[in-house]
Amino acid sequence: MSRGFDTERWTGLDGLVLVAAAVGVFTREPSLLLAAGLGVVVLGYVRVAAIPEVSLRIERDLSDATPDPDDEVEVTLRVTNEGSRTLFDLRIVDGVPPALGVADGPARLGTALRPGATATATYTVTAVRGEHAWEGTVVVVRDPSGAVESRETVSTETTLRCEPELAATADLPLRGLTSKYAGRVETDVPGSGLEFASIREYRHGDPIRRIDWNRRARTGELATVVFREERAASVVLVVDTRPEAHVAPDDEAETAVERSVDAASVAFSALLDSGDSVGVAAFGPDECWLAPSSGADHRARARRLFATHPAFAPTPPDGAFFPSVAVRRLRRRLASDAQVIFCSPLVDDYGVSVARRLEAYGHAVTVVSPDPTTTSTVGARLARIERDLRLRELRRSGVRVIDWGDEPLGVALARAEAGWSR
Amino acid sequence: MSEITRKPTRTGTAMALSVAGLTTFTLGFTTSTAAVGGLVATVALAAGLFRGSRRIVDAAGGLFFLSLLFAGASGAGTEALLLATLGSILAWDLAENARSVGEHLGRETDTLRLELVHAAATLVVLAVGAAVVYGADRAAAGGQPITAVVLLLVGVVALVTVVTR
Amino acid sequence: MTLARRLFLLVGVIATTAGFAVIAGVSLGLELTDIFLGLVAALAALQGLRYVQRRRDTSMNTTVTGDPEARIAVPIPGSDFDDDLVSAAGRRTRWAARERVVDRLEARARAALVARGGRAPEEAAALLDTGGWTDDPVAARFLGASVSVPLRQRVRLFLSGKSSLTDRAERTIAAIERIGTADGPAGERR
Repeated sequence: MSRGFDTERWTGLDGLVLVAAAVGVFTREPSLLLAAGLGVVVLGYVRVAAIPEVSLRIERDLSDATPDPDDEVEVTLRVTNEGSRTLFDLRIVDGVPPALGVADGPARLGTALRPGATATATYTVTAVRGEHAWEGTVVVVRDPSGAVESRETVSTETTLRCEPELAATADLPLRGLTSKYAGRVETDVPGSGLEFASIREYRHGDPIRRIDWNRRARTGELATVVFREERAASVVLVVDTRPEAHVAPDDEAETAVERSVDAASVAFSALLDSGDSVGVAAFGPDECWLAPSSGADHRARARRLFATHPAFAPTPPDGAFFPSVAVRRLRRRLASDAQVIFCSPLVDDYGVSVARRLEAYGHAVTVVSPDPTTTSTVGARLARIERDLRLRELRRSGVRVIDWGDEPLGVALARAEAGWSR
Repeated sequence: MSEITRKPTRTGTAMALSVAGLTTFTLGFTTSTAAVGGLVATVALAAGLFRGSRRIVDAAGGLFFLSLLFAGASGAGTEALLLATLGSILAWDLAENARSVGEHLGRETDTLRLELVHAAATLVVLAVGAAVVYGADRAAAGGQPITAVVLLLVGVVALVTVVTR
Repeated sequence: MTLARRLFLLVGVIATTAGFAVIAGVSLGLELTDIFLGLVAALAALQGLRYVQRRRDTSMNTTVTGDPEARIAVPIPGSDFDDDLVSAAGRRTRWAARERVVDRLEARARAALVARGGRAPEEAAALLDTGGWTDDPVAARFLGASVSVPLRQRVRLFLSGKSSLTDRAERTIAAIERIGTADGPAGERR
């Protein structure tokens, strides 16, 4: 009796037995007394109900522990009864990671298991970016009559790691995103670049090889050739990971944060390829900052960061978040000429104010906004209008906005680029 | 798929309704009123399983009980009544178990083995119990003096009180 | 085991044994009257009904299994507005929620008139006051304009059962959606 709890499943049967017996006595019908007798037997059966010691070995196999996004991974759950008694009623629910959806077959198992026997359940999950650890498996055991039940959680460590390659898609028209100011920045600061800027009067200390000897020969004046200063752009990808950004048009769809991280990782790779120095930041309760840099090591770091950093997890964070503190911290970290690509669904006004404040501090801001709105409810239709108004407000204040709907990101970029060049 | 269907399993529903039908058939050998009661109880059980409602399944069990009482009170044969009692308890047990398994594991999970084992366990207990009770009755063939009946009733009441948790 | 239980067990065992003894033909010299029988039966029935009643008062204890198969559910954008609509129907939260709904719609209508209809802010406010921003009198009234809904339309609304807060909010949203498009009075772009 020590294990498990009473389910109260048979409560009231004792009453029926008594009533049957009473009616039997009252009407002098022995058959009813026999029926009551059968009831007493069942009561005895329920009374002796007990659950043996549960000793299970649970193993889990993944067909692929490091899949690509959208791959279907087959999970095999093997449960072995290592105890010495038969488990008559065993119900098992596996702890599928919250961010993973089961594509086929329930992650459950119901069976009776002899000592030493093994039961198997197979199901398929669809991989999404991130590091996903399985949670405890819930084991419910009942005695054969169902009068006593026990519940325990058995944890078996299994991790599925999905780290998409950071290869830029070849046909991604990122020039729209970068032509204006990303890539090499041609500054207006006269300096020691390659492109000719102007000629000015010689000042003491100018390098000899910068002196315009042609002019000296022609006019006898000393003049210095000045070239345009040129620097690699530093771009920081800021992903909106606030709880507000964890929205999706329906249960099956990718969340706005997942799409934002997608957009950021694609842009990261493309910008790195075009020679920029790229950094990554999360704007949300979980802190994440990767300072702008370049090179193969940096690419590998970013890849790991996008896949496994808790800030970019597809599940909503639950820590406290102070957005104005976060904006200030972000500003301190950004170099004064750093450009910002802000990935946010813009489903609330704060996202807009972040973009506008960064723009006001002198950073060139481009907003890449995955559209999570739908028209399924009254509120959803309003949210769509509100988001449209926010996009207009941002565009009016000079922030470039890429509205990314259901189409591939490349299509949205191309469309936005066409709009800008007009 | 995103969520399981938390409805009584098909296996359990089929088994429970078959047993309920057989019980109604058995009640047909007692009185017609009891048979009608059994029929109503079977319909109620089907409704409870369709809706996945514990209350309706319990109510169906109650209806079976009333049918049994009525059959017994109007002088039903011992064999028929004992068989109908066995059937009533089994039908309710299977239906309730189907509901519980459906709630835990849903209709999508393969629970055939689980439910067959449960049904077999209950059936064995009921069959052995019925055999013992019937055997005791036969051993005392010739009609029990009412003194014995009352003493047994007092004994049953006292023992049930002890056994009840 | 409590004393009472032991007593019950003793009585039960003695009575059952005696019962079987009588069946087996041993005479114990007991005589039972109908009254005594009826009394015992009534007592048993009463106790029985009490036990049965207990089932109705107890709920089943069982494990509740979650839905690990489903991905974690995140809200859809705008679910807060839907929640407000629900609480505007509730008794206690009615007025605050109603006000939130109307205020929010009014702000959006004004913003849309400016951003999409190309109106000046003061012009937008005036249009909202007069109801001239939309050709839907229900939407205009919902945002505070004193436009009268024609009787026939009112009757039709009443009969169709589409006069709840949600329905009116929906019509207002539809009207805001039309701002800046071809089919609205505020549609002419400048």
